[in-house]
Amino acid sequence: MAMERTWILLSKGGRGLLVAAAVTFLLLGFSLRPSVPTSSRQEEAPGALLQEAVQQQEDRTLSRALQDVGKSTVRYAARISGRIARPDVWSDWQPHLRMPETREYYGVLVAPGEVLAYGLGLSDDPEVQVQFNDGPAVWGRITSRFLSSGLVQIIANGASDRQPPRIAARGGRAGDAVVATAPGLEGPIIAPLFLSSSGASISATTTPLDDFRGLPVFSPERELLGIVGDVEGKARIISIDAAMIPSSTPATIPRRIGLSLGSRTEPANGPSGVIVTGVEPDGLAARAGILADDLLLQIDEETVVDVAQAASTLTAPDAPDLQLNIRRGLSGVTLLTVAMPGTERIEP
Amino acid sequence: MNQILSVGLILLAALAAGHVAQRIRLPEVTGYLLIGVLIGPAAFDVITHDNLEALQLLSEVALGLILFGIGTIFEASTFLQIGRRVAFITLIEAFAACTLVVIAMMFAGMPAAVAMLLGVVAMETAPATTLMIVREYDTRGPLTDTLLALLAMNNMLVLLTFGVVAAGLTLSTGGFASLYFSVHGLVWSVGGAVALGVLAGLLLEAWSPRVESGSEAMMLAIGTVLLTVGAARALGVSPLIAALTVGGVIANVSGHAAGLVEELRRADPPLYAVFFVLAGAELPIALLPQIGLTGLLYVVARSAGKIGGAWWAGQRANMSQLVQRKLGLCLLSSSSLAIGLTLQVRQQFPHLADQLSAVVLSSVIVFEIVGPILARMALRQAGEVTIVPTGGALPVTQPNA
Repeated sequence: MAMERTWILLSKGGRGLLVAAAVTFLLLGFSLRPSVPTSSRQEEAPGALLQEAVQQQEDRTLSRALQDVGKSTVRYAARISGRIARPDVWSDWQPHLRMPETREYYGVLVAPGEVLAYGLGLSDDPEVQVQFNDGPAVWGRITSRFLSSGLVQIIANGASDRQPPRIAARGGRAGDAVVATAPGLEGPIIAPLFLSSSGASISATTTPLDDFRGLPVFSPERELLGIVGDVEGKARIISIDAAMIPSSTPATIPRRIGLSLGSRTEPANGPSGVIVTGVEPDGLAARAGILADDLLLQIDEETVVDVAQAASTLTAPDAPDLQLNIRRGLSGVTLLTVAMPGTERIEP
Repeated sequence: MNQILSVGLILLAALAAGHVAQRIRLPEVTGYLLIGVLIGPAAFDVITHDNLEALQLLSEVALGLILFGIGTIFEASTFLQIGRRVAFITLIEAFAACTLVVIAMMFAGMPAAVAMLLGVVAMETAPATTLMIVREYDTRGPLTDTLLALLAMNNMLVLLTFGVVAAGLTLSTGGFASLYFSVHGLVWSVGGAVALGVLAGLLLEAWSPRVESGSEAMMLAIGTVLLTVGAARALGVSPLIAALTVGGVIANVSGHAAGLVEELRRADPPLYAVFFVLAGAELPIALLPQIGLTGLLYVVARSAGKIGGAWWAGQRANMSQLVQRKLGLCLLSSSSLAIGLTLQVRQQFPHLADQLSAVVLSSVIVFEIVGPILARMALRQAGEVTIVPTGGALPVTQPNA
């Protein structure tokens, strides 16, 4: 049956009508389209501290770490409530912005009155509510957005007297704290914290600290349990030689024997073990005769598998004297005894 | 690998895979998909994720041309002949698949919201894969006519239903304030796409009498389709419906539609090959072992809904016995739109996305491999295949012969 294509008008007038209807619909629909202004979305130059954090490769992991800290009870953590931009109901699987709703994010103080938070999805509205863990809620303003990482920098109104934990990005010192991450891991690792009186350097094996980021991990009793470290993009549990304790947070160090440990970097053909990367001159380990570069094989006849396991055993608060099997250079295995005093408490 | 190298490799790999597929009596499109899997990130990683991302443009262009081609089937005379019956069959087969999937997923312990979204995704039949079979075997007949018309309606119906379900879910969580945004999104996405398609189609029609050669016609058609898809993206309307509409308008108001489509068909095989190899490379094969009982239930429920629904509706619509029995087998392919809807769910309902993605992505692998084979089988049994590919070499021209 020939319809002569009369189904849709062929006359010039009819086509004009069709074009007019289509254009009207498009104009009307577009003008009524819900949208959120995007002009304020921009990359702003972050402060030196943030720049260092944001330029690292594992920013998203850092974001997760921030949430972990934010959910803890430490006083420098905050909950951020802000309006979010969510995709609208469109059928072309492209994101569109729709009426914002509120969502809660987490962050930490990184400068007086200044919060670094994970804020991916926050709308362009710069006003957010900042609820510090131990204080009332205040209004804050987003001053920088880091689109690659989803982080936002927020200035909290009337909170300039709130001091953050100090950040030790290079050469930490007693009283410093570090925000850090453990790439590839779902949550923070609990690593024992080693202290030294020198506090001059922080290093894992021979790696300089330039890329170090660590997350302080607290017990429910607000004891500082340890630090998760990230050195040059690799997750490490780092034995550090400087205190990394938030100034306001008294921390109990379960045990300190004065040595730092590191994973073996060469493929291990022989027995498993961890490397002693440093020995505190007057510490218990030094007194027992342990030297740097010793290979720690066994602790109390238990084979050492990795740094975490070794550190956990070495720092157990109620540990008696420890029998360590070590290998030094090409010599055979040596048995050393580390005499253990009581648990030491470090005051900030 | 740089992008030019990857495109070259994809084309040659597709050529070889197409020949091999024909030799072992599989559809070419299955060969394309399988070679895509082999050289993609899931296997040998010759085509990397970066390549896939960079070549997404080609996929979108190909999909636009495919839907334009399907749209040209919507000629008023044909539509009035079979349109109502096809619309009825489309509704029944799609909602039968949807209903069975919802029931099966709730039986498997899925939350109602996830089950409903899975039901909507299950309604979809992949236009590109199915059209490729039709073209490869140059199938002609009532089953082919019904199938092609159904493809266009099916995709439009899926987009509409997804919009309605998503609006309902948004309302249930977002309150009455979300109603305006949801309704506007739905109307704008579909209505805006149709309006855009009408404008682009009329532009194409107005220009077509002025073209003087086949190559000019090809440039006009491809340019218009790309313009439409790009404008649709910019406006936030559905590029699929917009491209379909351009084809539909051209089929009905232009005397040059057949010529344009013919010129387009000469140009698009490389694009189609790239499209399907990339689709294969993007298939998340690693998920296949995780398909599990829920995934199997989904596959069975969707297949039963499509085949059973098409059969029952075909009977009611007084379609021929052949169409009744074979149509459902041609409707099982599922790919780009299903994955697109999954991405949409991830953006819109992130808390529901993980469960939905695992089922959809693993089942897409099954449907995308098995679907074309069943479609070819059905079309062949219906006696509508006019070309039997042999995988032979190009004819050799003898010099001075």
